[in-house]
Amino acid sequence: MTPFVAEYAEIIVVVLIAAGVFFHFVASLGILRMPDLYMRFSGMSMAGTLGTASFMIAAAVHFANSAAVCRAVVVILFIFITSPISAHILGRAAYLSGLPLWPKSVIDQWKPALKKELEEKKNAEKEDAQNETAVK
Amino acid sequence: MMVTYCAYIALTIMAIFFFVALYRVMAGPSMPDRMLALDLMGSNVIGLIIIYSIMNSQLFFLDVVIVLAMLGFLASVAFAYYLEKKGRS
Repeated sequence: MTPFVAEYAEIIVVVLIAAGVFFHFVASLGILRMPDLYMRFSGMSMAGTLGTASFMIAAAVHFANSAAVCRAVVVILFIFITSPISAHILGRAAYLSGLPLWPKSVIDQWKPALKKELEEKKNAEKEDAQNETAVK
Repeated sequence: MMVTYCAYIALTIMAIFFFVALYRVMAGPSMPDRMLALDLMGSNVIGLIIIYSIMNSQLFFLDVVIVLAMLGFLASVAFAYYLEKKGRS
């Protein structure tokens, strides 16, 4: 570590911890106050990810060690990949299981596409059944 | 020294956020709400462990963080799979 960074390392660590706490505050506010599951996803997923990432960078700066930096990189990469995936997958499952949107929501873009998909599936099944009866 | 004080304050605030997420787990109107709040609780615990590790200068607590991140992801994916199967049938 160069002396310049060592001198200011404490301040950097404190600022990064404060940033992480702020991001977690945003996530908690979102999960407490948002009216709808899907809005809660958008608040919590991104803010929680950023908060954990800043904590991990703070740890890397504090230890200033190859082992700590490696772990920080691994954890940050893993969280940045998996957190959006888990939020998307949970929201998709919630939508497919029929959880309604907030009544004041303006637009639901997936609804027509999903309806169309289901109708096509039904038509395909009908055609299959007709073909089978024709063969018999 | 400054880092230690800051870590104490941050630990306190993060514990409060943990209980906020716990409120959503108890009061959440639907099951995905509860699972989302559990995810956030896992994220809070990860933050608490990292701050504790910085406070005590113990490097090996960071391994716990890796394991916890993987466990949280697996839990939410398994729950989403179960919910989707149940909703479609």
